[in-house]
Amino acid sequence: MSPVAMALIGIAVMLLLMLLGMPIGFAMLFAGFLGLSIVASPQAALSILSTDLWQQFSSYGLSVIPLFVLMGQIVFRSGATEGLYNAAYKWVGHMNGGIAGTTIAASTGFAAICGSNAATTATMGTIALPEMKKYRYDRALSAGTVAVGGTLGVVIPPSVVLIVIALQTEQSVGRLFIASILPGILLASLFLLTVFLVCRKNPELGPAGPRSSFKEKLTSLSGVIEVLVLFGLVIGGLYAGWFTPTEAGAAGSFCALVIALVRRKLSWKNFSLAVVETLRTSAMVIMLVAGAVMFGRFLTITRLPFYLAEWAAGLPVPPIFILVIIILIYLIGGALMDALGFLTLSIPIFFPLATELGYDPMWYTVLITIITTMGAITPPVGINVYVVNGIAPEIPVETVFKGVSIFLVAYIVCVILLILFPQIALFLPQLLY
Amino acid sequence: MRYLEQISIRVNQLLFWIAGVALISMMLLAVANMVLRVVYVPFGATAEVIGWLAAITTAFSLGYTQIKRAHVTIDLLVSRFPPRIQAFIDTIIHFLSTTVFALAAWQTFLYAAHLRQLGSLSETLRVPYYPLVYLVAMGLACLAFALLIDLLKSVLGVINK
Amino acid sequence: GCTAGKETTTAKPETGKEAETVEPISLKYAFFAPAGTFPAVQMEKWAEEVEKRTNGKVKVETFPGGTLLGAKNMYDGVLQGVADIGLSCPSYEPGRFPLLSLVDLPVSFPNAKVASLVLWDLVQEFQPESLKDFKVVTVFATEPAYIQSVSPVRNLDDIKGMELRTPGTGVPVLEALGAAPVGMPQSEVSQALQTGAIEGYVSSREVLKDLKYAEKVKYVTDYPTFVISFAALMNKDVWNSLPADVQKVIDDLGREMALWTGEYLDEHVKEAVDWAIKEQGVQIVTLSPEEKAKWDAELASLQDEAVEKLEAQGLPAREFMDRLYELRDKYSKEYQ
Ligand code: NA
Ligand code: NA
Repeated sequence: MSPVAMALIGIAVMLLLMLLGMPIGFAMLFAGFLGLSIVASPQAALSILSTDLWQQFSSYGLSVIPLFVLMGQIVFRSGATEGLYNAAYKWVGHMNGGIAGTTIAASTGFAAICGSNAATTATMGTIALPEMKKYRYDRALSAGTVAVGGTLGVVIPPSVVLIVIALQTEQSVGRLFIASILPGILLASLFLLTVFLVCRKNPELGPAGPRSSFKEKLTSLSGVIEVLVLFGLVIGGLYAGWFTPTEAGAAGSFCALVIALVRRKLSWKNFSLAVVETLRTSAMVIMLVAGAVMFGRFLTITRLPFYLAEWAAGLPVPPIFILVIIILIYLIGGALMDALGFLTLSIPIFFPLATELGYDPMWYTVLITIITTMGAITPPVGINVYVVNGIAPEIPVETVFKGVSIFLVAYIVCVILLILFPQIALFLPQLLY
Repeated sequence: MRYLEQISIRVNQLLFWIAGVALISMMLLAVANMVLRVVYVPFGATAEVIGWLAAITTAFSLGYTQIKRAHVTIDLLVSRFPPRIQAFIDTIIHFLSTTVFALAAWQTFLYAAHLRQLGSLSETLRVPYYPLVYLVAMGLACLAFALLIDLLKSVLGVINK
Repeated sequence: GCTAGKETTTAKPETGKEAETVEPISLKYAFFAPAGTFPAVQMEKWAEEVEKRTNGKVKVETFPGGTLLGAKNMYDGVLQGVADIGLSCPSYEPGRFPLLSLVDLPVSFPNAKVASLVLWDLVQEFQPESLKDFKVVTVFATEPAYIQSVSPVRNLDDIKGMELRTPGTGVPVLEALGAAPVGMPQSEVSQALQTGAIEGYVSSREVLKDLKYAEKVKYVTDYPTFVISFAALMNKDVWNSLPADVQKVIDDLGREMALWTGEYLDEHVKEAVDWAIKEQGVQIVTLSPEEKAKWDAELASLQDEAVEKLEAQGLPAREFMDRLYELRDKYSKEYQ
């Protein structure tokens, strides 16, 4: 059997294992290991298994993941996110749909410090769902807003997904972060626009809240300051060049810890909860990465990515059609899998193709990240939707999907704008570097 | 069975605790190094040591993460099947997972022994680093152990349901 | 590392020109760094030559960019049959190739060509024990590493406490000169220079242009330090399974590739330095003879220590070192 046929069988085996409930990282690791055993030799596969796990686990580059997750966890556990939400509510809560807008805004703020989809959704869900319920917001709209706001965690830097892709494709983490700022803000703005347009048409979906005095508005800002300072320090310091990404994660965690301790906002119990959650999340993420690397080795040795890239690059159609094909694949992949899982898995196949077609690596990365992230809110596998359902079991999954559906237009508009105007992603990095 | 499960939980909890210490040490080392860089000279082997701490952080949290079911899974399809079929599928999946991580642990032990025998030293500090590879092997072995418990449980599920 | 797949497209395998009806022998050749780097260029050149000279009887599949094996598991991967040939730096696994590590001491090679030929001859003459499980396909070395820094290094006072990124080999060298050696992955250097986390680095000079470091560092101190050796090693069983005519082609190519790579790199460095000077205003700092003597004195003990340590292990380090200097002088005259 030809290695390429083996590669296709390997992909099928991996998908089957995933559908049968094997953790995604394990399925990639297992399929990669099995494939290498057959295509190379069992001895070679065993050797790669051990040396690669050691190399991934002890990688300085990957150490950014636990450090950034720790920062987000400490901020969340010390209640700083609640302050952020509260302030946004004071400012826009009196408008129709204002609290849903608040959720988007607070998600944006939290996304700015948290690297993960599910974590942003879980955090915002815990805070915002009870608030929106209190003000008789439509259940579908509330749930949809939280789920869709959560997707910003991946798009707005820092983002574990972007870090992993940068490492995988040898791009600068810092530049990729900067490149995704404007697209992230654009996406958040489009979400806000969607909320207000929908609520203007059907005010009963998002009844107006009480109006706050200017003084109340101002005082509410004090709850935001620490998050903003932290964001400024980490992102600003990273961009200004005070520290490397790993150091930024460490400094961010440390400062979050100091702020929380000084303001007496972090109990020992909450601190250990933060550490526990960090360890779990990062073990999960790094296992995904290690699995994807192993599977990537298998694909590499079959040379499938090489042939696929050569085939697609040789198609007698303009590059834009190939890009459309890639986008469709990412839409499907994102719909079926977790964003990080699918991106790490597919990068070895499509990234070389995209660069060969002459697309800017940074722009391309931001584009596919947005497309895949959309998968977190689409059936059949919508991680964010399930998280929302997990936090508020009284809202059925179908209702959450319904609530989310109105935001898909915003996503599509964002993707089209990004394709038409690559400058949205490229402008800031070009300006700053 | 219950006894075995308790051992798995205890051992993995202990490792998880050490992973937490490694995580915090990683943060403190990076921060301390930044401060040192400003006031004096940095510790040149920071990247190397952070890599080692990261290895402990990850390897030692794998087992407990498995016990808490935090690895990303798609249970869309399987959750629609009758319980007995579910248990049967679980048995297969857990068997495969246990096998691959048991192999990984075993090979990593061998790799550590190989590095020790070669006399391999780390790049910056020039000290033997094989003990850390042993630790990673241990983390993988404990993950395999946690998975084995899950395997036994799903086998019981097939028999009892 | 986790650079899966990126470079596979640039590593186009040459299709067997006169493909015979028999299935060609396929060799998997892995390397840890991306396709554009000089060792990867060497790898492609070797693949091309082998395919040409065996009339397509051998087909070489190249895997640059760490897609198959990384820097640290390269040689073990070859032993285990992951790849048939692996190209890496023996110095990336300190302690494993003791005799070869002597070549990476600061012994003032004038350029990459001389260093590569000396390394080749030494490997042939001494047949180090650490290589006994491999077939040596070729060996070569970089030009010496130079101190490249944001502010000028004119004397030992300037370098005192300076935070310089170095590969592991350079740590004792920089410590002897009084600098503060920093170990970090190449992928972080650009950002670290930008942030001031490091004030420069020690490396062969092609990176000035290839990695655009000349945008940040403006001074190159004209004092050659250590070289980095590379060895392309083949799995011994695979080697023994090859027909005699193919073995001959590979054997003939060994020294030829060492020479070719040295020449290629020297030419490439010259271009990079010219570019850095003309386009980026980089300046070359020359040490005064007295200052140079001081530097030499600081570094002399490093070699004695290394030699004594290996002699104590029962290795012919003294003899190796003496021969190294003889060969260095011989080739320096030939290729200065
Ligand atoms: Na984020
Ligand atoms: Na989905």
